[in-house]
Amino acid sequence: MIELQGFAGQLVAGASTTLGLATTSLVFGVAVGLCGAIAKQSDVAMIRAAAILYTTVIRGIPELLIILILYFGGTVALTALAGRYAEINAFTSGVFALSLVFGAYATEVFRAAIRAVPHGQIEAARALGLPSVLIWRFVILPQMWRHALPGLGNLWLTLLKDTALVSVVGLEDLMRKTGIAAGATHDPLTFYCAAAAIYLAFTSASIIGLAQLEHRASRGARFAM
Amino acid sequence: MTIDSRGRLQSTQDFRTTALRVVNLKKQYGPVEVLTGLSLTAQRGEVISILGSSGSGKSTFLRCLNFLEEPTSGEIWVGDHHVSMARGNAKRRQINALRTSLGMVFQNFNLWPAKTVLENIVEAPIHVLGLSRRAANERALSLLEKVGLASHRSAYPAHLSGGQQQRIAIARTLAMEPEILLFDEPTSALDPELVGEVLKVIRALAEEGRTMLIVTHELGFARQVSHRVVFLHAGQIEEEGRPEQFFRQPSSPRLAQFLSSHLQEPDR
Repeated sequence: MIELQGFAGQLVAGASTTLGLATTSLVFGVAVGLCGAIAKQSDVAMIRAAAILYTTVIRGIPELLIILILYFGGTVALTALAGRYAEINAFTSGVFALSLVFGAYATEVFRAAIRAVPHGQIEAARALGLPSVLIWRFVILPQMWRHALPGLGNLWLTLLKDTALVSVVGLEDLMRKTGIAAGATHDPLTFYCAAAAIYLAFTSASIIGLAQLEHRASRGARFAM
Repeated sequence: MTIDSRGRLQSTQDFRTTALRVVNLKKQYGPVEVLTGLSLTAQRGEVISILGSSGSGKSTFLRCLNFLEEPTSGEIWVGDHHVSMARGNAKRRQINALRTSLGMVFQNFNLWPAKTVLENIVEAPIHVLGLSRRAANERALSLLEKVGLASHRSAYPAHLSGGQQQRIAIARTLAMEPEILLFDEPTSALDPELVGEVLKVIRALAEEGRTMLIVTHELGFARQVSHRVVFLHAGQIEEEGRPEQFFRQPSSPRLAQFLSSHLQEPDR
């Protein structure tokens, strides 16, 4: 067993913050991505333009910059709103930034997945008189997942690792706790390797989970094609 | 309706009520006019086959009737229900009402692969007609019985043959109890040995006295099952008539040519 010189508890606390940040951002990011993909299919040109602007801007700026801009921008906004100096919570701004980033890439994943649903199935639903909301629910969404899952899986792995960037605005995540421990003990290699092992454990578990999700999502299509 | 010695449906009944009336239907894609003013009336219980070469507008005609394609102009009556088809005129509510009275069967079946056979059939009756799940299940099972697939209720479409899928698709359409059935080349995507089972189901529906428009390349079938056959050319009705006279003495040279080029096709 590696000697963590009493910092094991700190690393566990950091790891749980990292996991919390990643899963919260995932939930919001998927929601944002779905909205973005639906917006890109909209009949209204303004809505389409807004979605294109969003994905272009967010995907065109380094994640680290987005985190910094939202953190300091959030602090300025909050100060103006409160009328006195107020600092935005690092976790909140982290969730905000990572959800925006995840959402922008997920928009494209979902958009491709929606287009992969054969048009005839949507026409069949229309011909039966089903309204659009139900067509989304019964026809598009259940099938779209199957096409979206591999892409979303990739984004989730990226998201898990991008949480480390939020440590720059002072979030006590796994990365920051590791940095502190490495500095205090003058044994950086041990701690960075330990952190790497924890990230790898999370991502490996994710990959196993994703494989199972993909298997389930292909229900009914397993013998198709 | 009676069936003559050759197993052919005879239109001895007089059709008292109009089930469908389409007047001057036009459809343009940019500069291309696919339907150039098509008018057609179907009496209740009448079976009309629609023939034509590819590009004649026969599929577009069916797709315009239930607004899968938006017609450029025209009028449609289904029973007493009238919808102006002029672009932008028809309201969402009117279109949905139209769609529930017109049942469409597609060339490629278009079943939903993530749902079981039973789920494919009950979804629309429950959510569009407001049937209870139990009533919808009962209706679906009796329809599956009718198309001979009751034992496949829990299967997924991908596990079924094309012929079976098309029969399920027909059951799904029937579950909405539409007033008129539209068939858009229902056997064109099937392997030859599977065509028969689907035609058998369609024939049984014709014998029940349902109003049907069938776009098909199965000339033998059209001849046996139809009260009237319509030949489309360049987005208009080029010729129409009872099957006897239509197939024996076509008056339009184009129809004569079309029929002779399809002569090799075996009668079904």
